[in-house]
Amino acid sequence: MPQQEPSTWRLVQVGLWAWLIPGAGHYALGHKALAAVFWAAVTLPYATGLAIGGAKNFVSPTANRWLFVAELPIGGYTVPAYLLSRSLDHHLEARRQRGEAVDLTEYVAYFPAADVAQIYLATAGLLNILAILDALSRAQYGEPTFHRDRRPTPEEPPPA
Amino acid sequence: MTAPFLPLLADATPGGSLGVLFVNPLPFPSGARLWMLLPLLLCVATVYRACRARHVRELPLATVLTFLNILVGMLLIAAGFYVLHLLVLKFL
Repeated sequence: MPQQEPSTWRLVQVGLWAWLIPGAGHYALGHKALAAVFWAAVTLPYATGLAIGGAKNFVSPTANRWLFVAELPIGGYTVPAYLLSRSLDHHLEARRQRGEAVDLTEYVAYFPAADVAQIYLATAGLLNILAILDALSRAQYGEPTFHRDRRPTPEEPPPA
Repeated sequence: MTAPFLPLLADATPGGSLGVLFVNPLPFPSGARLWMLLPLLLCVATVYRACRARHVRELPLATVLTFLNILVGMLLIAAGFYVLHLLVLKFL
């Protein structure tokens, strides 16, 4: 258990950091090495999925609503990617209005790349939920406690 | 709101800046689909184990064991479904 009960504001801060950037919540708590691990393990699948799928349809609440919901747990990545997606929509619409032919395959991945991109992006978002919950748990209760730690030692009689 | 991204799109050519990386999808060989399981599994195993770690030095071995557990489990499930598929084809 930590020495002092953390304030609600501190928990909100840690949660917000963890939501913005994977691992940032752990960094704020002083777990710098764990923060780097979380950052790498969540950023890698997110960046890979976005690179394979492209931002246009893969971070878009209109083109793929449920995927967008799964990506929302990483706010610091999803919000800029969503803005990029909107920019692309406007850009392509402007090109269409000028009478230019627009080849969507330049901007959108199709099967099988689309499947892989979707799985990677959704998994990254869901992994960051675990990272956020872990950061909040460490902020409130300290280090994880294992069942083996709670077993009575031979000298210590079991509680009645 | 979206204006800062428009200059980035102006020179959107394949193989360009980091922004372009997420604008134009990377070419993806269809044979790579199954192999993409491995890095994703490694990330899942890493996060799963990191949530239970007190120190980073506990992580490598635990992550590799979890990675192998998940991989073997998924291979067994795949093999089970393949056998079921063969049985259905044979008897139904």
